[in-house]
Amino acid sequence: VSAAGGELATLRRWLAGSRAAVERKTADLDAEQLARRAVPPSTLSLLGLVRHLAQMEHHWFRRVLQQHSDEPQLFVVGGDWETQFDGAVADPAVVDEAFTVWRDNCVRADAWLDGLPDEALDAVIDPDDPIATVRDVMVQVLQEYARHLGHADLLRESIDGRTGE
Amino acid sequence: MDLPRLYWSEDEPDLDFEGAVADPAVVADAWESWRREAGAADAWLAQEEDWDREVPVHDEPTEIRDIAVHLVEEYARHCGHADLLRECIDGQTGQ
Repeated sequence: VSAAGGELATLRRWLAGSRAAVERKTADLDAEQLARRAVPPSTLSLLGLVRHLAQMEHHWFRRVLQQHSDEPQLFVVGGDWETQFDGAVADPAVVDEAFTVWRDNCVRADAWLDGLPDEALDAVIDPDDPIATVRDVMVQVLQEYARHLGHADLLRESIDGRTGE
Repeated sequence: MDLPRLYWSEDEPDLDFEGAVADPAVVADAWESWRREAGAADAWLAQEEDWDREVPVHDEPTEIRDIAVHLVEEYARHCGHADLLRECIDGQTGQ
């Protein structure tokens, strides 16, 4: 096993890479571009994705893994999941809020992961759910990031032609 | 590493996308290749027990686990592309 090896280290390296890709895909754009529904008929926007990824980080790391299920889902208003995307309007304050909340939740998730031993990946969170263990949650988070980065790839290319990882 | 790469050559590095033309034979060939390779990968993974084991990737020692996670990542990202492509084609959404 190389120095960078080990299962948790591998999963965390991929997680860090996904978050960095979100930063690159959303860099150098203004509020209108970030909020643009650039691949119709889809209603997705880069800003909507950042709000959704904040909700996703908070849900899995805070509500599920740290068992704070009492905390409300981020960017979900009145139980309507579409508000994550519909509320992603071209307003600099909305943009600042989305990135601040997303980055803050990434930092908090990392702080929790820092204290996690490799064996904890086997810990069962919910035996009745297909996403049963800490390992399952980590893979779910990675696959959420990657799928939404696929959306971000096409949104960004439509907005200003930029492609690449 | 002696097997040739599929849909790739020195002269045509983007042959996987550039060669994807609207010809039923090309469609059938694509499905056949993908299902064959997925089946071969499943059969190999089923007998591989040590995911810490390292194999060379571009001359770098790489854990089998790292490659497996990379494949999950690659599938998910392209599923994201497929989400928007499919919605543009006929409006279908969902998993």
